[in-house]
Amino acid sequence: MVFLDYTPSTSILHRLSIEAKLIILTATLILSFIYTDPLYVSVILVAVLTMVCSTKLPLQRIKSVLRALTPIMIFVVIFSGLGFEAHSFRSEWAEHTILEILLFRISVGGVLMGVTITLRLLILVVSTSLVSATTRLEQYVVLAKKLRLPYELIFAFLIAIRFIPVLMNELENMMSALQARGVELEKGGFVQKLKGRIPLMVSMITLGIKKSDELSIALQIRGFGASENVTVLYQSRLSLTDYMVIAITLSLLGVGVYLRINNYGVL
Amino acid sequence: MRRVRLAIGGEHVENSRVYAVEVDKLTFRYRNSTSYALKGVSFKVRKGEFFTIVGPNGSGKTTLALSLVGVIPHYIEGEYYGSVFVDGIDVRSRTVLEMVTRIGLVMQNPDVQIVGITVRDDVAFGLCNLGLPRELIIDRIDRALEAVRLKGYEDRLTHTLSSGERQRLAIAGVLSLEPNVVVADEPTSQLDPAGKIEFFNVIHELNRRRGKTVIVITSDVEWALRFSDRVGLLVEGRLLFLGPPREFVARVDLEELTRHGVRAPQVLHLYHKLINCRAASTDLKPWLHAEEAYLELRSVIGRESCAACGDEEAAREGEAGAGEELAIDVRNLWYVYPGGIVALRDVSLKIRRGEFVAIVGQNGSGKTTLVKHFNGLLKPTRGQVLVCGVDTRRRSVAELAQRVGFVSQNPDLQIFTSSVRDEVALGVRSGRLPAEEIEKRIEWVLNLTGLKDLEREHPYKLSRSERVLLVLASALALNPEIVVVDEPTAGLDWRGVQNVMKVLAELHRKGLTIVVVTHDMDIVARYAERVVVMHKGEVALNGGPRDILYSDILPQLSIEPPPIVRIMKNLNKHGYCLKPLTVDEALEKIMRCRGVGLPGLHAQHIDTP
Repeated sequence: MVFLDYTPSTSILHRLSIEAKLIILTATLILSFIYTDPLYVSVILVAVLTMVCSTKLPLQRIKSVLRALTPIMIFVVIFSGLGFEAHSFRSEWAEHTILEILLFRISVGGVLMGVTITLRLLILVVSTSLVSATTRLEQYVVLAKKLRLPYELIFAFLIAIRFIPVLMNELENMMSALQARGVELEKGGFVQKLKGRIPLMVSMITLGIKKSDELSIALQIRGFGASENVTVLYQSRLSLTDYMVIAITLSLLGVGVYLRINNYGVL
Repeated sequence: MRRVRLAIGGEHVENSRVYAVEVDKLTFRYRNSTSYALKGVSFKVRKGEFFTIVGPNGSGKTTLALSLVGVIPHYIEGEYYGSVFVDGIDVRSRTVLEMVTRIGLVMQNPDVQIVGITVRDDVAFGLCNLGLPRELIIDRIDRALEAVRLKGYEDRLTHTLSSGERQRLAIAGVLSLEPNVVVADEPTSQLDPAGKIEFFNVIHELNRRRGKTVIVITSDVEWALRFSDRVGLLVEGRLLFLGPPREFVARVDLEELTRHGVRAPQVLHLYHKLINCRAASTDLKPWLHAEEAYLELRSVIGRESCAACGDEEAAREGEAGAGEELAIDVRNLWYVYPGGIVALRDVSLKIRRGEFVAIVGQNGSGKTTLVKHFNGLLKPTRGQVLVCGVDTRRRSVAELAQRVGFVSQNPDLQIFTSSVRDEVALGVRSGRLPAEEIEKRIEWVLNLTGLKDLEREHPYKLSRSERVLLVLASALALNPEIVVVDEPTAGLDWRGVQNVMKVLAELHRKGLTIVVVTHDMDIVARYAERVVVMHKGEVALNGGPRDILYSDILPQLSIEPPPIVRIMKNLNKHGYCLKPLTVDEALEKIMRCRGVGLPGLHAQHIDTP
């Protein structure tokens, strides 16, 4: 769950405002996408990993994500090695051919490009989960309010997140109940499994409708819609650290873009 | 349709100084219903009063609650006569939103009422909706959480709270708006005894210390008598009684109460039976709860200790009908949830074929985790569970379902089809039985559970107790040898409880092994041959109901024995040695103490078991 995996801590990233973090995230992603040389991109990855270590968060989750991504990453390296035409690279050494099978030519540049794409993918996954793990839900809400998104929209989003664990729990109970009745859910092929789950879906929808009825009464009782000006409980003012971090990030981004314009970091 | 009665300004302004709520001849029919949910209900609740309405399921309790806060008729439409005034204001003249700071409602299901992701967010929700200044909101959150004893929980995620904590959070959400009147609709039906006690303590404190007018709507008469200033009895949309608890105890007709599906507490039964046994009933004052009953009996019975010791029952219990063959054999079972929480620690338990076993314990003690091993929904982390001699790890849940019928807590999460008959058929049809056999089984369970007449109905049209029976019937259609039921009576009124327990007792008579997880000590006392008390993931006690319910360490395990046991345990401190479990047994015991001070007791009124 992207928005519920906030892990409390007192690290710098935890204390930074969401604006500062989103600026770092954006800068990181821009930089990792303008460079094609894996060396340059790996510098960015190292920077991101340093930030991860500074938060002292448990790394299990990221590890499991990486494990799931491994086959995709291998796939990417192979296919981009095949896919990029040698003459599309600027440097000579990148045009060298490593292997030639039938009509396919695997070039040095192609493989390196594959490595770059993989590194980009890693940066994307690690940096976004870093933001979600260090940012409280209410900070997003505050931001959404600052961006003048309508309260109803923000609220609908919040209520959805609130009820995810409830619905997951109910679904699990219903699956248990079906099995306890002698209905096999784990055996058989895909079609058979799907067929076994049809009653679940029907029930979930019925329950959902019932719940939304009750919920609308509950919202009335709690004064939803009583006032035009809904109070935002949490405030966020940018601190000196935030401003400093934003300034540093933007200058680094500037330097990075400047280098790229002068053809550094390109294959 | 609506008959708008204009308030005669002066009268209601005058009354609003005395009364927080005035309900006058309230009548309501839901738009799609043919009968009236409320039929001319009238009552007035004084400011600062603790008022309770008791009644069975389907008596119009929730309709009344929704009318008090104005959801009816503003939000749910129908035929509406009469009036509801809160603080001297007709609820029809204002929107629900305008009334939220005057009257608040705690709904039956806290899961729906809690909308925040963290505890703080949830309490803040109503306040933010009103657009109050931030500083005031923070202050109010603090006070509301303190009032419900949830201080320090601000950053907890709401879905990780226990059901008792969630119910109290729901109160805090309502309370933060600072209404003068707090209405709670069946607030304790989903709570364990510890949660119930905590709830009533909190709401009682609100009433006494903070001067809130409290209206509790419940089917639990025992608690209503203990805490209320006045009690109203609502049956089929009519208020049959209205008065102080003591008057209720003295005047109420128990048979009628039971017929209407209201469970009368044991203390009430005992009082009435004693009164009936006595020639002169003048010197027995009506009591409200076990502690009062004890004091009263103590002064009436006299001081001589009694020779009639209740050992013979204890001896009888051990040898109840069960054979030596084991139905379930739990050997050194450990279970650790994926998060690392140890739910069961080295549990060993043998359940013989044909036994009726009750598993009790506080929420979180591991009861449900334990029984989920009986049909393989959970597999042991360490140790072994044998069902009819077969290791559960070697069978799928669906295979074990042929031997173990399993009914979990909420019937609504166990119903999947659109008719009673299809529902019962769902499980059997997925097997490989011949068609005639399937039909035979379906007929059998429908008749056994009394659902035959309802076989074409949509399950959602059934009452809650019928839905519980339906889920039970669906499990029974597979013809299991063992039936495991988790909290079958939660949220049911007395009629529902009896209907469900009757079926279980019948199955037990037929030789099936029955395992019931329950908080209801009346059921334990009445039906169980053996009681297993779980505490912190371990089996704390295991034995006959008499030994267990009279055990001195029970309170340490957060279990409150039934009122009769509490009365007798107090009496036993004075040299008696009485261990009755039911009202009739207690009556016989008291009488056998040769009526010292109870000269009017006549033996012929009591059927000796």
